[in-house]
Amino acid sequence: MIKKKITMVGAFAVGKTSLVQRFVNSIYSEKYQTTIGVKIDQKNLVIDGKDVTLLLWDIHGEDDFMKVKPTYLIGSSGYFIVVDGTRYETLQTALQLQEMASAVTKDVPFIVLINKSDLRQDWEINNDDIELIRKRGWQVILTSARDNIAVEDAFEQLTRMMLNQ
Amino acid sequence: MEGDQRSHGFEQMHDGGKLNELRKILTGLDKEELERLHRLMSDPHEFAIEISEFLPFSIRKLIENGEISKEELLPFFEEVIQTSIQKNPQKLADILFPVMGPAIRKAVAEDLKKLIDSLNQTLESGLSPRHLKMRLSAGVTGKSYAEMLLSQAYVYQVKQVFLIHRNTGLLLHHETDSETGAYAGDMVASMLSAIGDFVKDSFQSGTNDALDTIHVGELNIWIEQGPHAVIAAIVEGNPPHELRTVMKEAIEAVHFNHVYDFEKFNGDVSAFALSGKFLQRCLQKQKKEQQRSNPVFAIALLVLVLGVAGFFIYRNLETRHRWNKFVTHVDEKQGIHITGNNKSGGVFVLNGLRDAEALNTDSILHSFGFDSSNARLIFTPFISLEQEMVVKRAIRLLEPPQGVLISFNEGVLIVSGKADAVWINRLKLDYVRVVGVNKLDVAALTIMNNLPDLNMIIQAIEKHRFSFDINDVEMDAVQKNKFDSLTMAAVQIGNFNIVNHRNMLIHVRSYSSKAVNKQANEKVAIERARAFIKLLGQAGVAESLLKAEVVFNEDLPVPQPVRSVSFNVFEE
Repeated sequence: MIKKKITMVGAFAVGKTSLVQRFVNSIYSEKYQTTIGVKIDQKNLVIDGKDVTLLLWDIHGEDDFMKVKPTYLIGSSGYFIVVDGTRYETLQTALQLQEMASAVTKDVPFIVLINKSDLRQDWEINNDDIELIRKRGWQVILTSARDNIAVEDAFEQLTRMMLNQ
Repeated sequence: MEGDQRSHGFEQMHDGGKLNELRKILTGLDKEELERLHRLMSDPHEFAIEISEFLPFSIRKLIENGEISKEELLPFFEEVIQTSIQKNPQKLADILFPVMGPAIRKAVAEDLKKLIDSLNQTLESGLSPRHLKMRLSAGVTGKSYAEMLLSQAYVYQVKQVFLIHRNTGLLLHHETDSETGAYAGDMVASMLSAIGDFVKDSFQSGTNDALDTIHVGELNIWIEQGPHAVIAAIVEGNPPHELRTVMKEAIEAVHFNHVYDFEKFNGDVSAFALSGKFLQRCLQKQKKEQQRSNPVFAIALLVLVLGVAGFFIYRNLETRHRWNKFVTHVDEKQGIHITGNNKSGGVFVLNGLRDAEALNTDSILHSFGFDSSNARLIFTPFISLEQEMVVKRAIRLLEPPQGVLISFNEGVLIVSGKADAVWINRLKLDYVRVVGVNKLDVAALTIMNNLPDLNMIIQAIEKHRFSFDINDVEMDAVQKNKFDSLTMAAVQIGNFNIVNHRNMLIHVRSYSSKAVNKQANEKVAIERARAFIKLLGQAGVAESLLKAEVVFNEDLPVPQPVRSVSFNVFEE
């Protein structure tokens, strides 16, 4: 049995908890509940014939008052940096968090999730921005926890990256 | 001296370029490399430094390959340490000093904590009735009060033990007490790790400080830290401090046995299944001694309950047994056939068929202690052809006189003994009325002729005369005696007729006179005669034997008293 710790990081209200709930429990709630501290969920997967247990650490979103604690990232085998496509500033936060996470986790795999693709018409992040992120060599996936777009793919892809590392 | 010569030779070779070239071709080594090897061979100190770089790796490979076991190395190290201590204890003390300081401080701190806990507990409840009782018990049993106190305080159960990877918070292995269900181990392990991280971050504690206890309601989570992993024990109750030692030993054993597993850990926890035996040692428990209360009341209550229950059970069984005996008894009786037996609404109900000649079941029911409140008999009438019933029926219908015996066998009514001719004659006529009888057997029946002589009967009848006042037919006491005598004689005439196939009649003669008003006198006279016949009929004389007649004195040679009645017997 292989177990891996995955951490969800990002600015506040980008949809980290919704992505985890969609992936783990196949549910989505319109009601916004801010995460305080950390919430942990578990999901068992079979990837390429291997049983993998994912421990998903859903960390509170970073804002001006509450910074993400690096200790929560220690020991992560991979992490998601979640961005809200409708708020450009969350991309800036994501870039800062990536620096911190990379230092703490010693360059484990990660994927940038630009969430809320169901609201594409309201996005402040355009294709050029996305292209710039990709040019850094980062993997980017556009997701929607609400419409269940690419959520499972994202988790499975990160799991494969972790297993292949 | 030899060294100098070798050195001198080396210089000569150095000078010889061709020789160097030849040497390189032969050995593959240049001059510098050979010189370095030479230095290593000639200088043990340098050789030791060189080897020390890969010696630990070699030992590790030997252990991994199973060529050397840890157990084989252990005596060697123990012996070395022992020798070192014997030679120079100060040396080892100096080495251990940086470690011993914190270790001693921690041990003292933990002992102080234990002492304070114990004091707190004693102060909090030392004067309670329970503790006063403990003091008393200590005095009686000879144990110290502290011993008694500890025996009461250390009541706990370790329900689950988790081995958690310190860095990732992943659950490496966990063991559960068989009596309790497992928690979601992976989630618990991660949350404990997150709590630890939170505490460390929030309180800015030092690197060596770590969360060691969490209280959740009645549960305590004890955490014992190791370099790579921690053991978290979920404990219910009040565990003794010795549990800490057990956990320490367990985490040490885990690290000792999984040192390479920790170093190359990449999320695969299967290797840590072997750590289960160490974790199981932590699954300790101590059951609280049940307080024994005085059981007198409980026993009395139990006895009472059992007594009452026993009484009702016995009564129920006894009643049921008695009822079954009654049913069996009734069923054995002739003329009764049981078709159903059940209990409904607390009342026994017996259904069946009953011949009118059968025994009275109500009286049998009462004799068995039942009445209408607890038993109901529902019988449908039927005619039984059982022997006893046919005989009873025959006796009731035929009214046999004394000395006559009646029996029944296969449709034949057998009558034996002695009977008068009248009854025998009636028997022959009436036996067909007895249901079940097809044939009459009177072979053993003899006729007993007890009838008096006809003349005597006629005299006994004709001697009577009754005189009445005008318009009066009531008899006085004397006349009533005479009337009874007349009745007996009249019945005998009837029997005589039956036995002898004769037709003797009794003429009831009412005397009157033709004087004044013959018709009126005749009417009164005939009424008087008829009234007399009626009286005789009521007394049991067949009215067919009696005939009313008016006789006028004017027609008689010897006049008779008017308003008198006499009797004459004639054969028709």
